[in-house]
Amino acid sequence: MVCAKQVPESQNAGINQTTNTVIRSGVPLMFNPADEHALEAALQIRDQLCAEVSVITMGQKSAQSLLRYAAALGADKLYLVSDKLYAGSDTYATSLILSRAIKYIGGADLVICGRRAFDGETGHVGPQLSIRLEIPCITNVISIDDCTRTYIRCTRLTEEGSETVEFSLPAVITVCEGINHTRLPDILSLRKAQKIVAGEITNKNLALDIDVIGFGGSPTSVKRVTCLNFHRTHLPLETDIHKGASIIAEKLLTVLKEEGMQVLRDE
Amino acid sequence: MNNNSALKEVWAVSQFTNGHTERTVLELIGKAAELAKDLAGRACLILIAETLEQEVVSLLTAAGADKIYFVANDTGGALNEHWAAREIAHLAELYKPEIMLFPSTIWGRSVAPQAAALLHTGITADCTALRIDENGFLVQIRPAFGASLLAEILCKTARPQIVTVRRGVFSLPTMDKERVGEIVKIGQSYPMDQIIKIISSSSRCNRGTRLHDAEIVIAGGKGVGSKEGFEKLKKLGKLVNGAIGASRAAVDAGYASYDMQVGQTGITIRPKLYIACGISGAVQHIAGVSSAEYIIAINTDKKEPIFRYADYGIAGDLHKTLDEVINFIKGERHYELQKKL
Repeated sequence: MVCAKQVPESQNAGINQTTNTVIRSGVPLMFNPADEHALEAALQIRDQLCAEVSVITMGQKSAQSLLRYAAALGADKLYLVSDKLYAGSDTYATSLILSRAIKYIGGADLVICGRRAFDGETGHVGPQLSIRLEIPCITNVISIDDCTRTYIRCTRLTEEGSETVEFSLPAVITVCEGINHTRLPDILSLRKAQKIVAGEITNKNLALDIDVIGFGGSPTSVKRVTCLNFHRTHLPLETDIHKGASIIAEKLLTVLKEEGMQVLRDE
Repeated sequence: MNNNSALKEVWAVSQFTNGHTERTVLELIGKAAELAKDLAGRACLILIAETLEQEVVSLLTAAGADKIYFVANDTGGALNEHWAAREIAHLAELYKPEIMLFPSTIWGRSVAPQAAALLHTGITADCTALRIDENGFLVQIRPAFGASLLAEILCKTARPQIVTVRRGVFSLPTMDKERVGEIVKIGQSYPMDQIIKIISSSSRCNRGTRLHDAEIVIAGGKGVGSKEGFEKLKKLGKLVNGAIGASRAAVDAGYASYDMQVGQTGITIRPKLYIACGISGAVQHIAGVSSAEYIIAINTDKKEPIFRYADYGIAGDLHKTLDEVINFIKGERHYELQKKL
């Protein structure tokens, strides 16, 4: 089961000043990069194990195009979780809705998410899904070393480097973009996928209380959004390498001094 | 156990692994103490470790901890995220903190959201500023959209208010050795599980300073030209205790490994000084480095977008430039430069 999200292509998406949410209409949308790698990881496992790859996304109707792309890449089953009641859900509510939807369609042996979304950049939904589904979670996976129907061994990033871990399935993993190279769909698959309409799951199916979904069910709310302008000094472009290098060296030494450190000389 | 303490508690939660995390712990305690003061409450620390050494207690207390919840764990349990999330959530249910601060490390970014889901409360990732507003709510400020926006987030309806905070965002607290603190020893509530078994781990520490922490980051792009080309960056990095990063293009070209990738699809960094060598400056790359205090770009092509985001740019060959920089730093001139400072 791959959890994917459609995100604005541009970093400069607008903000609705009344609801403080991202304006999604009129902004080109794309497959969240990390999720595309999650799908690729799932497809590779499927090809080894004769498993089935399902892609689930929560969002507006426009997310059908994300699912069509997933189908063109080879996903077997597609689900769109969409309901006006879900609008404004934070990660707490989103993970609840997604977990309920995953249970509704019969669960999964392995749930793969991207490590974070391009727009929100929280990385919370994967770990929170694992709690909702009462299964373990490993984040920041950079390679899947072995996977059977009941067990997985993978390598994940740590602060210090990496570690290889193994655990029983079912489980949730979140993957980094570096885990694999994504494939491109061929023309025929793309053409075939154009007609696909994924099944929609609404709150009629999930029957979640309105107190736990959408704006009202989200513990966090955005109070205010302000634009940030980075002030760079923009010194004139230097073409004299010697002079440039001396300025870089000086800057490096200044930072070292501020940090109370010295140049390390082994020789 | 005291469940209905009148004083509000602000918790700092951190893993204790090695020297590297200590700074983060102190930063979190310092901030917790500040917030606790505004709430007229107490700053507390959750300490999961094998033993509780007096030296550590003194340090943490001096940094601002009024109370240390010590969970004795002889199996390095703090590192087990699956277990830690459950144990910490259980403690929070018992002692009902008002606020919980987690480090925005790989560990914290996994444990904190799991704990939040268990506690049915909200969480905000990667806060860069925190304050208490006039209603007593924690205002959680975080960059969004590749750091082009700042969002102020509140968690009004549920408690605790949980956030993760990046290393280096808050300054180190002033140490006060006269402070006194309380220690609460708690038995482990959950048996240590082996649900996730660690087979092996590798450390990149021997390869230089860690990207997350580094105050100086030297990164290479496709313009570096080869895997060998990165050796020059590493040489300079070693001299100045800088970490080495790479752009996605350099990683894709096989010049550098993914764990070195800086940018939106890699690691987001906020060093004091960022030196981009042979990096064109794709939007995704800029998003991951725009919080750097000072950006220097070296590129042969004057028209590359990276120069628009840099404080200082050099249009020229990066290898020649780096050679010169190394000479300056290693050579006699080093002393001249130092005298000038």
